[in-house]
Amino acid sequence: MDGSAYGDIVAQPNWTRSTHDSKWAGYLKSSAPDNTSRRLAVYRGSPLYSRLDHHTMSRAQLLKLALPLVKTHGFTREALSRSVLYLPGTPHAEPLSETAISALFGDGDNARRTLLDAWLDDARTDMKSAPSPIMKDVLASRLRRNEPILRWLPEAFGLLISPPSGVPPLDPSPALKHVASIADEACHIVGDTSLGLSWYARRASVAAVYGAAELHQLASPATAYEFLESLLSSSSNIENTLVNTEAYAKYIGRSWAGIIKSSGVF
Amino acid sequence: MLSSTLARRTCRSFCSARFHLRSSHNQTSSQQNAEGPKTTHFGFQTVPEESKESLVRNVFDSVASSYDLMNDAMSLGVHRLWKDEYVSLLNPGSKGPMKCIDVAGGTGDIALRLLDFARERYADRETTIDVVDINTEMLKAGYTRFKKTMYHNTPQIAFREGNAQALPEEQFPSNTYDLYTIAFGIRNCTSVPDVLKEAYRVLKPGGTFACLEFSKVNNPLFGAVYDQYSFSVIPLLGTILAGDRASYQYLVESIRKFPPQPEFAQMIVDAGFTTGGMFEGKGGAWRDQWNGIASIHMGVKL
Repeated sequence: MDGSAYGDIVAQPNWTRSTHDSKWAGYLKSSAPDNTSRRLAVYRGSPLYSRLDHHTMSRAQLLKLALPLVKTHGFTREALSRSVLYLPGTPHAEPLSETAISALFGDGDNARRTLLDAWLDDARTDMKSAPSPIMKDVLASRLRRNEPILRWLPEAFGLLISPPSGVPPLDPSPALKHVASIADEACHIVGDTSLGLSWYARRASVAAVYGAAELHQLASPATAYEFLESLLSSSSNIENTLVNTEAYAKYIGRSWAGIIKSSGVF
Repeated sequence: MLSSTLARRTCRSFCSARFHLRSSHNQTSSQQNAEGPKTTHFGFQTVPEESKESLVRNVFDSVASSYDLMNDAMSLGVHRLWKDEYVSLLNPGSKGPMKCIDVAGGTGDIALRLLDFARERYADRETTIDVVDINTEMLKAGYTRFKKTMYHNTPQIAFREGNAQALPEEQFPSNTYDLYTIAFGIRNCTSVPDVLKEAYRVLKPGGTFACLEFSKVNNPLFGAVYDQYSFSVIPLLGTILAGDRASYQYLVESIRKFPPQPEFAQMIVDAGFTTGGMFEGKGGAWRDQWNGIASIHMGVKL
């Protein structure tokens, strides 16, 4: 078997972003338990299956099978434990034990974090299926992925910003990383070609817009899409301002350099 | 270092029979020359495969009488912390009673911790443990220890003699246990793959394999200090406290011969288990204790 191939998949919680994963995700794009068996059957018949070790794939399989269960069980160890009931080929009569969940996904809330990361990665990958490669549609499709699990999201975001060690009590960096990765993916999908400062400006503004829209969605799901649209239109003004600020700063810098040179100091 | 603990558990499970040629694994570095017999390591020495069991048995017979004292002296009591961490990670009794097997567990320290944890944390008095060891003296020590506890003469505990590499099918049927533990025992087995294969066999689908064993220190600076301590202080302590330098020298050497964490994790996968990701830490295939002096490896039979 190819160690590096399955190593990538097993080692990376965000397996869906690797090359192998893209293929894997194509074969195994599950969204509902009832479709899982059929999709896995397709996967098992694929050339990829022969290259990947069945056992090392199982952890990734379980995570994938747990994603549809989030809708009913939330981001819980219960969802992970029940995933084994849908495992094709080796049906289990009972959910996985707590010990097994800890062995595979981490103890305590770490297993929930593993599930949450997997869900976020899956939802981000799914942004490619937006109806058109326009920023508004891409971000809206990502928001739409939240809808079935909206009631679990506040707790999930709470988990996201609570570091496993408890120190500091709150750590916003995972939440910032979450919106930044969505912004990056969205820019990639719409074919953004900006460079330099505008590259950062574009992603920062998209991340801010998406973050605000997602927060709005938690409070008012019905108006989230209008809110997103209005934010996007105003954000383009902010981006223009940033780019103008860059040009203005350069101009000021050159002016000062000229003044200093002409003063005879150097 | 903490060697004795491990050591003694280790020795019980020395295996004899089948040997898997797996030169990439330090632990099972046996080789078969066209001209000579199969060999394996005994500490830093290369010895005929069939003699390892008796050599290790001698080591543990030698250290058995001073086992507890030496464990605490060499590890400064740290082995107790690792065992507690190991048991709390396994969390026995959290979802009802479990049927457990503790291999190379003769003196019963892990079994006692598991039962106490389940009882104190979850009021679970139904979890059962079969303690298995190849060394009857160790089993006797464990039996005596349990006579002092509430578990004596209850269905919760049983002591059985057995070889970790070849558990008899009639005594240990396939698909029987929810949890398989082996703490500081697998290192001294002649064939680690055979031990893992037996573990896979006796576990139920969904059952968990958990191994606590000495491993490789990750930090080079800390590793240098640890090496100095291991090769200088531990044999010296063996001489002073147990009057036996050679046995403790072997224990230190055998730790160095055990495969590093990723390699052992791969052996667990090769045996058929599903593990966490191939990395250290929560959600990973192993969890280092004290920068890798010891490590907890886990796998699930799916």
